[in-house]
Amino acid sequence: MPVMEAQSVVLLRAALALYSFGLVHALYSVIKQRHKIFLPALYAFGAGVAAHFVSMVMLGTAQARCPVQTLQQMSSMTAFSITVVFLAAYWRFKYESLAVFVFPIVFVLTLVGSLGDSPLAVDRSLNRWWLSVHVVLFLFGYAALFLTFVAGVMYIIQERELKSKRPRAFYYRLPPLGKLDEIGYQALAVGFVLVTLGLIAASVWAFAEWGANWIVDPTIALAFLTWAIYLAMVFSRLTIGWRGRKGAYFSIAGFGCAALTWVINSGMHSFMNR
Amino acid sequence: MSVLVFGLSHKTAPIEVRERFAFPGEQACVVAQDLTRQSALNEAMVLSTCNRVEFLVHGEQCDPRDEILAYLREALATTPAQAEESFYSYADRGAIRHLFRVASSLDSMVVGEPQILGQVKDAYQRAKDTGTIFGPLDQLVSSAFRVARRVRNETGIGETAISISYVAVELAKKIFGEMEGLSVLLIGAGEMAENAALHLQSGGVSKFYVMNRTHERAASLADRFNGSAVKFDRLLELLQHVDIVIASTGAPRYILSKETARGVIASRKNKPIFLVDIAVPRDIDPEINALDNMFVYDIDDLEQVAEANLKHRRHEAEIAERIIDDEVEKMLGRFRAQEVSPTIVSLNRRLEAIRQGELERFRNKLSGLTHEQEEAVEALTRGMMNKVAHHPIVEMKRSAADPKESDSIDRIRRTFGLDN
Repeated sequence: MPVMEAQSVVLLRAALALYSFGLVHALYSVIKQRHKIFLPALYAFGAGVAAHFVSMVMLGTAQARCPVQTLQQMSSMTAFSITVVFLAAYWRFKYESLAVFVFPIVFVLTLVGSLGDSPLAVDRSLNRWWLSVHVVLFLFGYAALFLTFVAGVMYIIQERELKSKRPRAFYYRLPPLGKLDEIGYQALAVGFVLVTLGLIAASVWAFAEWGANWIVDPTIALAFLTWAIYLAMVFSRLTIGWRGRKGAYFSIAGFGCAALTWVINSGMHSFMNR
Repeated sequence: MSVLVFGLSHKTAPIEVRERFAFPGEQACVVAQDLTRQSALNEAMVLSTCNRVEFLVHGEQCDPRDEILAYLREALATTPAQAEESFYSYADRGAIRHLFRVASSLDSMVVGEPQILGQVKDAYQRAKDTGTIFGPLDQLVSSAFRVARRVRNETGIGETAISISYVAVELAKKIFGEMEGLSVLLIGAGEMAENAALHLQSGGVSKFYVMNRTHERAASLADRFNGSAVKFDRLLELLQHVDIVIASTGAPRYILSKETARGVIASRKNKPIFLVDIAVPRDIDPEINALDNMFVYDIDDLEQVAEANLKHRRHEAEIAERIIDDEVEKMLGRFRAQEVSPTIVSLNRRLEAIRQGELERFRNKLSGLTHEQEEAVEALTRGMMNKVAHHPIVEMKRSAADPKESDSIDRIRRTFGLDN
């Protein structure tokens, strides 16, 4: 393996270590309810995401293409985008408990990404910057929608606490319902815009390259279905005010679909390998 | 050095006794000044709140309890012996721990209540202004503030509500997140409703509507909160946009049924609403709680949350006690470290005095020595004294760092007769 790629793996593992430290520390500070000691965790996440970024730039430079070509690279980029989204949300809302729900998945994805690379796809077409843009837009969009999902899960837990009228551990540790709703909705808005842009970018390019026969590809159909679910979510929210528990269940369903799309597509679209 | 806390509190004395010993405001300073002037005490601070009267004093090896009692007897003219039995005293380690616990609100009647720290700060400021606190006691009380801050930061002791009307505010915060911009509808303008409204107002709510059977009462309460008095027939209309409802009417049956509530939440486009029912019999159908985005709490529910919070607080108090243990040891360590260097100085001085005395005694017999020999005698005696001093000094430095050896410095002072 060339030097630069080896170095990028080392950096990625450093990011992984920082994320793990941050996760453990965040867990501790949330369980013990010590808001003041969350700061080290936050620094660890910040340093981790910086190392992660440099690692991806190095890999991208070494291979002269955007590092979203293999499953490992996709995992790594997804973990990076989720972390960025989390930091933005934390900066805005200041709820530590988000970290506890977000970072286990970041950890797993970064771990997969740092396991070393499978051979590059032979297909040259993904080298086009269009396609990279489409993939990156999707990943950041999905990361934001992942946050909507996390907020939805937290909402359901906190709502159950409030409805039961017997406050237990979660009542004291999770953010208020109103804030969870706000986080979920804002993340939904951002995620929806990014995914829509990603879809447009992909469609324009695919039409130019292949004409219309790619539309029947099942993975593409799934991506459109995911998008349609989120469209319905945004729409129902704006019209009849679907929010709260129903909205939260909606966000979980939507995310399930998005996750499936991600898993299927982090290989490659099937039509490309034809 | 010795620090002593002497006093009584809600734990040892009923209000009838406590009120007799209370020294409000400036009086506390006068007492502290008198005590430092009349007795062997170096420093004194008097903390007098409605739940406790405590004398925090510092002096060199003395037991000021009797002196303080004698002073109180004279100053207050009436102190039955039975009241004197309610006094407790803590010395040194115990005194430090007690002060830390008081400042951190662990010794309060309502554990975790925030006022006590401010009261200690006031007492400290006054004592500082009148000059009755300046040395180790000053250091100790300042540390108590730091410890109280640490307890507050590192435990959730003061975070949860334990009074019913405050529980309603806490729940509202858990539902809405922010209180600013929320609006409240009071149905029934009784004392409980007023109390809850007061808490909501201090929580940040600014918009109030009041409904009541007698309109005058509604109007007067509305005035108090800068709100508006409204008639009952506007209930449904208001339910469409207020965020919190506090119901406390004397109505014999539900004024809000589940069917009506279903319509309300639909017309609100599912915007959450918090319904607090403090009426008995109840005003709001508890079944409404099963509807999405509607949260109904009756008086028992609030009580239940308060109880859970109290349990949570007790758990946090245990953590706080561990922090206090840790801080007490640190404080003792600092005090010991401060005693080490003066003790070393006086030990060296003592040994040097002995050496000079002995040299003086043998002056005549040593008169025939040459200059070199004289220097040798000088070096010899000095070396001996340094060797004698070496181990005690090492021992003092070591014991200063070890909380278990608190009396080691005292022992050395006694052994070498440094205090005579």
